[in-house]
Amino acid sequence: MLVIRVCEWCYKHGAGKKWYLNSRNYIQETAEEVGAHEYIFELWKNFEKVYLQKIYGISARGPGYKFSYPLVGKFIKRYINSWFTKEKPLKGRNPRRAEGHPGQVVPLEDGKKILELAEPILKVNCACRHMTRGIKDACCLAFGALAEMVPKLPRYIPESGVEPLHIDEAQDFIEEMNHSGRVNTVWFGPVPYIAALCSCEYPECAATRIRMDYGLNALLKGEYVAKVDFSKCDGCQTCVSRCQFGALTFADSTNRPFIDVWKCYGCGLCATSCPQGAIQMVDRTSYPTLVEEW
Amino acid sequence: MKTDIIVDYEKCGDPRDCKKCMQICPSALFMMYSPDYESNDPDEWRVDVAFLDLCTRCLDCVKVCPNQAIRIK
Repeated sequence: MLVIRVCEWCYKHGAGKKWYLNSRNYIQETAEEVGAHEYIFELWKNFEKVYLQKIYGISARGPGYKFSYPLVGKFIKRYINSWFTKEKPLKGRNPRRAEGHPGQVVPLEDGKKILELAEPILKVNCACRHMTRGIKDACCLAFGALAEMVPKLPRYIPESGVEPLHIDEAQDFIEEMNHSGRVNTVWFGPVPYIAALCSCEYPECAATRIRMDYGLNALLKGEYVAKVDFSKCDGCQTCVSRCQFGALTFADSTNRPFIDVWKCYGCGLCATSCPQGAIQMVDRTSYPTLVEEW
Repeated sequence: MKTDIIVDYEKCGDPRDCKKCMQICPSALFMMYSPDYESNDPDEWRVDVAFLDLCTRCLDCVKVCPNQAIRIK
């Protein structure tokens, strides 16, 4: 049996690397090819309403009711999931359905590499937190087409203004976000153009919410999974509070953390917090059974 | 158990000034949106609830609302 041991997007858009490390996915030509400016403006202008309509479109009583219908529920879920990864047509995908606009979890190291490729980098207010909690929290980094559109969308302009960040500033910033327990995520806008690097949190993040609670693929698991080196670990439990995905628990009997790789999103928050450096991020594709677990 | 949360927009003021329900909800179910689809800087905002199936009926939102605008059925 032939198994392609890379992720589907890396194969299609990665040019031999991870898809988000391919500089072609950041350039102006790609943005124009996929119509990123119009797509992003339409999506961000009506961000809250687009999101709510999508949820109400599934069910006004909450998607859980609809998805629990026998057979029909499964079909509807599969149909909605097909929107997020839609790749055709290249130009003219529907922003009101978030077609071709999924995100993926990235560990801090890869986030820093992303910032070396993106230009310009702009700090913007998080659209999700404004919607769910009414807070203006400048924690997302916008690139290229999105950075060009943000000045036209006043509610996303942070207090610090629209001055582009230097690479070092941006890298320090996502490190700070990572240390405060936020998950770094990279966003397509639309596939294969890369528009943003966010610092997400459950439950405020709109995508993390629908992924965790309803299994909708608005946010995909990262390219890595965490692995504990039991000989280095001293059982200090620092990592325990870091996992947002319920993948890491502490086992009293072995005095070591237990990581459920099936639930692990590969954000690396546990690894960056470990004082012993006992948690390594290993390629998801090095586990034959996790190759299709995104 | 099916839950319905009704927000009375006549009693509810501008959610951008208050946002008490949005911030108190332990499950973060309240969402602020603008019914104005065309503007890129809308002035009119409303709160509504998505994900009713995740509501635990703790009634924190009903208690916190200064205008008694939230009702749970």
